[in-house]
Amino acid sequence: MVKMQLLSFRYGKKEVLNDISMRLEPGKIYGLLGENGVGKTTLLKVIAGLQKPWNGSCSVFGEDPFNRAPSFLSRVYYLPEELEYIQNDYSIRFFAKVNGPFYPNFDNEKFEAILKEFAVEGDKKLTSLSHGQAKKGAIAFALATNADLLLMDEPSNGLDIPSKTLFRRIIVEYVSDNTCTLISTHQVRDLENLIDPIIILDNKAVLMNASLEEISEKLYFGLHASIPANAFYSEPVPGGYLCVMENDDLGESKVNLEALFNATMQHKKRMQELFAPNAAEVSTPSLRPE
Amino acid sequence: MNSNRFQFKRVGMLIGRAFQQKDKTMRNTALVLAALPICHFLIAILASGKGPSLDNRGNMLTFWIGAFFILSPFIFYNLYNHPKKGLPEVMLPASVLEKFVAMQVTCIIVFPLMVFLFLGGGDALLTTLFPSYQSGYAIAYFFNNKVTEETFLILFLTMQAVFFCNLLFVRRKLLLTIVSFVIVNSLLSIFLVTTTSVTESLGYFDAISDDVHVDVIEGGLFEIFKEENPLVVSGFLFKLFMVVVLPIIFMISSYKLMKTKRY
Repeated sequence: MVKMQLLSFRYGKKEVLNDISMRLEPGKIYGLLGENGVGKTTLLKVIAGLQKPWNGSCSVFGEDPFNRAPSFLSRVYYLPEELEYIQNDYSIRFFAKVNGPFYPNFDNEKFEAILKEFAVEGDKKLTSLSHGQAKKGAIAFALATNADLLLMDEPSNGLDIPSKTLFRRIIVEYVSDNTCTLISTHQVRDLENLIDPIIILDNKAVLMNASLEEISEKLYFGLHASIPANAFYSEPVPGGYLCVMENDDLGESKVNLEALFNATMQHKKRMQELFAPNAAEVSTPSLRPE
Repeated sequence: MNSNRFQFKRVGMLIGRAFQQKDKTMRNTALVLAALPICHFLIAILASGKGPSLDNRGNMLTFWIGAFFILSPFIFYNLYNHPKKGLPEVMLPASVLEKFVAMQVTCIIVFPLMVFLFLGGGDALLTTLFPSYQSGYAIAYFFNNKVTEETFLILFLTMQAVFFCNLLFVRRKLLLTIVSFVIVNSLLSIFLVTTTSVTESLGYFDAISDDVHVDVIEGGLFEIFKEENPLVVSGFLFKLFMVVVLPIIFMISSYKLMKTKRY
């Protein structure tokens, strides 16, 4: 569905993405994680056709996104982090009324159902809604387009805790089976139990693009009284240390996204080797943080 | 059906969408336009005891038609190239050409038509209701005296230049457009004056001075009548460039900007 080959991007002289290669498949909810400024938003924009790669290629449904052909645009929806794109004097229902008809699979019933679940007053102007309410309205529209590729930039930003829980449930319930969803976030806990596979991005490379199953096969997340010598990462938690280490027949463990992210940030090269397609040939790990 | 093929249906949808989005602006504009001839009429009655002259009303109609024609890109599509606010426009499933055509149709037809309907209509209503105070219709005056190929071409050129500036500048569009116009016009004037001075110093005008008619006031551009002289041919080509080639260049550049704009 989405194929990137040695994609590079720069703003002027500042290099943001460098030789990024990855594939995204339909029917999955990808979590795009990365530190601030590594280019998550830029990557989404390149996929959405809003930016053109400096080098390399990006193809979506076999098309160049930057051509912005109707056949491409009707299958993609990009939800930006900031809601400036909806004019303040519009209500979200008005926004849906003027934009919905252009999306061939737009489902107004679905839109209304999501608004109801989110308890958003669809007829109120955006100026009269809180940021969280407006965001929920925008999410409702994005899901109602039934786009084959849904790109969401920090969708949980601005949502309160109950709304974040609701957001996860609504995504699971309303995203179509064949839709490829790519959610960028730096608040990994917001998306726990929702995203799978996980993509961890660094401006130099995709450090990881792996399913939770693959991650738990290769890494072990466990509570230890003391920090084991082979731990990639550890953090003190009540009752000991939460440690991330290579899974040498330690069995399955529940992936802790925050610990995974921190471990990856500290051992970029090793993680990259571990989750590379030819990971079986990986050599002995180096555990010194990079 | 190939969804990438140009579809008039989508163009229609885009125009309809622009109306829906700007319905409040259009409603207010219609009210102001309808109120203009009434205010004009009342002020003239109070000042002189009779309604405004046909000349006066015709010129007012011409001015507003020109103003709306030229400024319509700012009114309807000022957000198209905004890095954040322009996203719904650029991501809307329609081709860039369809969007471009819809924008052009809206700017060329819709707003001038509104002026006709509301300002011209208001004037016609007043003339019909109070024939003893004012006579003649501004719309008829406009068509009989103001609509010339020349004025239309100049207005069209200006509108396309504004359309282009609207897509080129992201912020302070109006200010930057005015500044650009002033700079370009100054450069053009310098070029014309220099060229004329040089050609005059070379003696070109001596030979043809009796055959050349320069009409700056009416057309706004040089109208030079004499086909055989190289200077006259150059003048004709320059005019052709200004009123035919330049608008096309602006249109192509605007389309190109829309196609390649990064957000």
